Amino acid sequence: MGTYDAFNISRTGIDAQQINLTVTSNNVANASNENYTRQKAILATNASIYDGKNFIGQGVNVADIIRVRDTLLDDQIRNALSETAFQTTSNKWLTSIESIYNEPSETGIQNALTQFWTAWSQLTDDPESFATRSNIMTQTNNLTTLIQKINGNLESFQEQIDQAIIENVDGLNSLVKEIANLNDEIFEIESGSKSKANDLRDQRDSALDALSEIVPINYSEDSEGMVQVFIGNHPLIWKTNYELLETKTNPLQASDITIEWEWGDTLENPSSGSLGGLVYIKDTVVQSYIENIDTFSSNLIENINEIYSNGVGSEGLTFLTSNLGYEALGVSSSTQALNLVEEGEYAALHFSFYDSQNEITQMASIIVDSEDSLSDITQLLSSIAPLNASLIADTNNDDRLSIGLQPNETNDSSKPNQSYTISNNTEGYDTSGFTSLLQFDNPYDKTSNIGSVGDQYIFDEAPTLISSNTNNIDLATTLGVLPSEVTTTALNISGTFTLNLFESVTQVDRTVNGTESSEPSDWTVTDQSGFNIQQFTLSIDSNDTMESIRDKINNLNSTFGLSNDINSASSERNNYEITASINGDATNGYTFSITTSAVTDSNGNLTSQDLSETFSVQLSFANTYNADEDSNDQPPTNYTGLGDDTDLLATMQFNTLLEGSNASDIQLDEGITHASQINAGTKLASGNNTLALMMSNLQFERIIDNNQFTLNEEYENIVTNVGNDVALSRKLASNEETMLEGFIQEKQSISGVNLDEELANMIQYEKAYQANTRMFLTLSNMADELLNLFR
Amino acid sequence: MIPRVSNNSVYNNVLKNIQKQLIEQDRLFEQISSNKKIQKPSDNPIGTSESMTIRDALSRDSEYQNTISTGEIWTNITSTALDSATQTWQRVNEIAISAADGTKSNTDLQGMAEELDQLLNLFIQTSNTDNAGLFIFGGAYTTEPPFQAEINDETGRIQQVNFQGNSFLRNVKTSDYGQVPLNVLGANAGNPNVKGTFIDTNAGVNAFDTIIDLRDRLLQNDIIGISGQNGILDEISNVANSLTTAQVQLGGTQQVLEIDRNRILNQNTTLNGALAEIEDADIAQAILELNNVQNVYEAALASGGRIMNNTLLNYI
Repeated sequence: MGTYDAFNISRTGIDAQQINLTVTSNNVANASNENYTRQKAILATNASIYDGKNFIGQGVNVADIIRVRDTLLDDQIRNALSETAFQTTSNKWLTSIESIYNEPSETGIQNALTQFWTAWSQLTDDPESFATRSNIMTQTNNLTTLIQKINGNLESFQEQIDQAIIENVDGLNSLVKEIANLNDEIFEIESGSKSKANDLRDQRDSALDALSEIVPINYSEDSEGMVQVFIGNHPLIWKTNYELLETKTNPLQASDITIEWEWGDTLENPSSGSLGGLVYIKDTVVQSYIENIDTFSSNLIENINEIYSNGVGSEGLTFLTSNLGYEALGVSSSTQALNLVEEGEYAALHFSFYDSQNEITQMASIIVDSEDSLSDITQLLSSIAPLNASLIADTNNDDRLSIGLQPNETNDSSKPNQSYTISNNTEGYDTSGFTSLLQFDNPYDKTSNIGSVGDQYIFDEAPTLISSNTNNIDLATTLGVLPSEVTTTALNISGTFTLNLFESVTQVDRTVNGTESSEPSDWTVTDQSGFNIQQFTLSIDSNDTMESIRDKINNLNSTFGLSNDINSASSERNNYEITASINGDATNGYTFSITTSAVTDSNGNLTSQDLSETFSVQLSFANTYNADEDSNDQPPTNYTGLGDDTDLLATMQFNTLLEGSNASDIQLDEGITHASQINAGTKLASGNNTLALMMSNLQFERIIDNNQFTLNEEYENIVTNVGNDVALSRKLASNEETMLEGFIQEKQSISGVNLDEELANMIQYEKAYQANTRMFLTLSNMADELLNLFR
Repeated sequence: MIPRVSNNSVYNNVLKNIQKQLIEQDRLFEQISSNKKIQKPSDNPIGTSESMTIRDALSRDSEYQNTISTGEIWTNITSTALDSATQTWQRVNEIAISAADGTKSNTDLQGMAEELDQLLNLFIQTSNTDNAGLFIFGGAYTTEPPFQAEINDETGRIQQVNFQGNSFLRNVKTSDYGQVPLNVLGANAGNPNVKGTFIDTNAGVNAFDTIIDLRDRLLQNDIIGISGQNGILDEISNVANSLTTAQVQLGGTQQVLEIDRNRILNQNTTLNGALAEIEDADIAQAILELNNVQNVYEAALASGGRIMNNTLLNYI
């Protein structure tokens, strides 16, 4: 143990304080660096020397310079970073998306919808005015344009989010490369050395923070000081290797992007991080907003058209083709049964025909059952003589329904049919009281049947509707005229009555053991399908007499008829002879009878004898239907007053206000180009506002979501839903941020630089340095003293 | 152990708190300057939905008010026409009664018939009353005069009056779930479910036929046909009843319009109040809050400035 040992000890002190000061100055220099971790020199005493009696201390050395950091806190912060990034990204996008709805305001959809209903209400007040009709077009355009705009904005948000996703993935990839690179450098520096690569580690930690802002990560450090990073269970970085992510766009569809691993797997949707937020907003939130506005649009289209198609503008129709084909009806071909009504039930499609003075010339209806297909209905429509219905196929749609007026077929040449409307002009089956006045007590004359098989009567001559004898019912007294005048006196009744025309396919086999039997009970009826009905309605005014009504019925002869073969697609039709006649004389009284060609064979030829395979035609008053008393088949009894009870035309978008199917293509029907085409009434009369009234009542009908909401409320729900989403996301983002701040505060309190502390340390180290140098001086003086001994 | 505080976190805290106060000031300023509490649905989702419902109701009400105004014009014109028809009818009645007493000479009866012809013309004119070109008694056929006179070629007198309208009731909406017919039908056009004023086939009323019949009997000096059982006097009183019934029916419509007008006025006040409650900012409250926030903001600035200014450096 020599004197100079103490020099060495002081030297270690000076060295140590110098390093302390260096670390402090590095801390001070990085005071404002967010990613910097406060460093600290760890001092250790040097091993003592035993001089035989005592252990003598040998000074100090710097064992390590460490980062003051809590790795558990790092985990918490990175979790919080992922969650916060998810919520703030969601919130940022949601806030922009919210503003496109522009509610509550005077320019949003809600207002446009209100204006739309108001326009109908105004049309109800003033159906004669063209201005109110034209306003319907304006308001419809306004409403549909706003809907299309919001839909377009939502879709363009999806595209913008796609762009953000691509940027996020790019950012993630460059972080991944950086971390793998840092892994390499840290390994290089730390291998073979005891100390840590503090600054590189700071860099890597901040890269890991940035990474966890994009996706949630799992990570761990291995024994070589390199981190391994996973997304879920999928390795992202191991040692100096990595697998990057790629975005794949679908060239066939805009805004359809997938994120895949470089080597093939699809990335599971990240549960948090900004990437997770983007995917969630785009695929879940915006997608649901688009679906909501789509549903709203299709509800508008369906419900508005369902009413509107029963209306008529200020002029009737002459030729019109539906926008859509059979696919709109949910079938795959025109010959497939449509099930428009429940089995065993019927619905009617009513047509009225008008002359140039807008006076009704005739009315007719077809009756549809559950088995009817689109081509059956087309066939039935064509069976109404003034109509010509056909199915038109083009490249866009299959078999669109087209209904035109046949210009040539009229029942009264002085009043040619000018237009048709889809409207039911009857208030009921017999509002005139004709059948009760003439007492068609047993209107269906069953006496002519030659037997019955099961429920089915078999006739060999025309079934006839016969009134009571005018003498028996004392009609002359009722009318206040002589018995000889009853047929020419005005009956003073007015209104309508409806006749049913049936065509039933009935195959009767009369042969028993090879010989023909005359006993109906021996016969077999093998086929009763193809039961179809047509109705026609006569309009009677108070001037009509028995004779003029007879003439009106006889005028129908050439104009009504069913097809030759209802099962074929042929548009040929067989005009049945419907004949009315007045029999009797003044003394014995008169009877009024209506009859029809009874039976046609399969070729459409009239025959009254051969019943082996028949289309039989039957006739009855619609209100006293009893041809098949026991049959389950009944004609419709509830008249809604609308033209189309089947909703077929609305579904195919025939005579409708709106076309399209969702928010992207909803618009005013392109066929409507003039205000006169806007339907206000259900009948062709200037002051008829029935349809406008029904339309303006539609706004109060709870028709959405199992009759819970009105159309207005459905849209309100859409907006409230968006508002709730944004408000919730704002709250969540703020919660997550607060939590993250707490962690960061805690991290800063451990790893952050406090200048006061560093300055205090600086003074402390400076003083220690000074003391060591003073020690040096003292030792030097001591050495001088010793040397002086030898002088 | 005393927790450490790093300079970075001090700066961040100061900045964050100042920022918070700024955002709050901005929010309050927006409220005050726009006078709206709800700018976006997320400000108050439930309130947004309520405000949309109320705006909807308000704009419907304003449309109902328009309907009521047009409706009142329509019913007033109808009422005037019915009054005038009633007056004409009273004169017809007077003539019939005066003729029926059997003391009038042929010339007197002839003169009465001439007056009846004039009254008939007047009556047709009244039944063809229009409202700005729309004929009010024609049902849905509003653009043509509904009652057309048929003139006998030989006598040059009207022999029949035909109705060319229909029995359409022109319903309009004056409340959400109610509708009211504006028009009174000139004739029921054979419809058994409605009432015609001048012609009703159910009740056997035909005012025109009655006048024509009366005139023809006067011309033929047929006093028995006027005064006798089931004679014209009965018909005349049937028509008078029919006119009264129409007035009563019209009065019902007018009453509905009146009630709805009052309801809308009351409802408007309530709805506007509710809308203001939901949408409008409470300015006084907002200004108070703004003052408060401003104070806090200034305090944060002052104290932040001080904290950040001082370190140990200032004292060594």
